[in-house]
This record gives sequence, structure tokens and C-alpha cells, in this order.
Amino acid sequence: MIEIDRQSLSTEWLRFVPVRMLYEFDGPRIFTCQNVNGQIFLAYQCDEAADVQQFLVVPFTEELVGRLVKGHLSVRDALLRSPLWLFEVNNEFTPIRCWTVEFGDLPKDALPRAGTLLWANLNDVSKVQIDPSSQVPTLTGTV
Amino acid sequence: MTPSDSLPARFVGYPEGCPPAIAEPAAGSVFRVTKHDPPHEADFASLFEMGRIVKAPLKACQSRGLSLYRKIEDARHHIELFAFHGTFIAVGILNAETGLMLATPPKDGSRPSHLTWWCFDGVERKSQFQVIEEHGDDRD
Repeated sequence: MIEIDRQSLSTEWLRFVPVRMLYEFDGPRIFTCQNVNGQIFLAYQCDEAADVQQFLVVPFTEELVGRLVKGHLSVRDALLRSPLWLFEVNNEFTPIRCWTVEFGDLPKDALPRAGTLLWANLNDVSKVQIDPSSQVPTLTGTV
Repeated sequence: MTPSDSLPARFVGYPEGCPPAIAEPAAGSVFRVTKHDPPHEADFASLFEMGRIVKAPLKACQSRGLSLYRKIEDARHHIELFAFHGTFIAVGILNAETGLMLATPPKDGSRPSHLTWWCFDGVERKSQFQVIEEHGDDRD
């Protein structure tokens, strides 16, 4: 677990409820949510313990969501935004603490591997490139 | 004593209609990321068993089951996304004696090999699985 030796900030500004589920596996792992003003945020689970789950949260946009689900943006790069928050939620999925953190201070196992896309099948999609002369998708990888 | 009285309890305390009637007897190879080699029973704890409260009624049944992948590629990708889940990939060869399963791919078409396994009460999950790959601590 990521330990932060600072007083936590208020968590009430963020509605920690998935708006768009992007990756669910034994519960929500990556999803978008909104703040009280309706602005979009991306939440990524970075660790968990018996009674707490930790999520990294960054400001996001619908355009970035589109790039993420099309495989044009890796998950790690999606998290390279400021401010970056670390949220802790309890077993009822209710935020109990949050802090601002620096991307470079995070342990490597709290982040996705560089270049990893949201879904495995996007690795195949990302190999498809558009020939500008024909606008016909061309598979450049091995079939 | 009726015939049903003599059957072993298989899903005690589960919500009504859980597992869903369309779930089928478990069968075939499945993959899951684990923290331990050999796997521990804790590597196969459901959300319900971990004490996680799932508010959405439709998810309450799934929280009693366990997410698995039918394709090893999806398990490898899972490790790349979530290092904290573990660095081992375990394969399980499941049969009808171990429980019921249902293909549960997301509606958006991603990760079509995702499935949910509802393990019968009393079945030791770890003994159904064996680690076949280790993805060491080589993150950037």
C-alpha cells in the first residue's frame, strides 16, 4: 500500500461512483467518475488491502476517454496528469481519505507498465493503420 | 427425506437466483493472476468473501463468484495493468464438480474471454490451479 504521511484532504468534491466502467475484474478497476460540478475524472486502482482500496484519480475528458478505448493512449500515459490524487475507499466503496501525489514518487508497482493499453484486444487494433490514399484499414501485423 | 435433502449444499447463503439459471457446469481451462506460487486460497477470494459491499443488486451475485479469463493473453495483459494483483499466472482445469460458470464479457466488447466462476461450497479452489508463468518484477 502507498503510505502518505500527511493529513488527508476532503474527499467530498468527488462522486466516487463509476460513470463509465472501463475495466471490471472482481469489481471496478478502471472507470470514469465525476466531481460535484460534473467534470470527468479517471480512476485507476493501484493497490488494495483487507479493508481498503487505493485509486489514482486524475482530471480527464471525453476526448481522452475516446483515445483510451481506441488504443491511442496507454493507461500509464492517461494517468500522467496533474493534479494527481490518491484516494482510499473502504469496503463500501466510499472514499475515506485522499491526498495529492506526484507521479514520479509513486512505486512502480502502483502503475501500469509503460505502453499498456486498456484492453488486450486493442493491441491488435493498434496495428491497424489507415492508408491515407485509400482510407481502407490495412493490417500491418502478423495475421 | 426427499432426494434434494440428501444433496450437498452447494451455494449456501447466496442471493435468490444466484448463480443465474443460465450458468453452466464449470469446464475447461481458465486463467487467473495470483500473488503466490503455489497459489493460496486467498488468491481466489470473492469480493463477498473479502467483505466488499456491492451496492448494485445485479452485481451482488457476481460478487459471490470469481473473475477468470479463458485466454491466457488476457491474464498477461492484466498483470501489465495491475502489478499489485500478483505476478503469477495460474491455470485451472475446471470440471462440473467444482461449480458453475458463465461467460461475462463486458457489454462494450472488450475482454470477451472474461467469465465468472461460482465455486461450490467446500471445494478447495487453490488445488484446482497451478502456476504456469511468472512475470517478474521488471517494470519500468
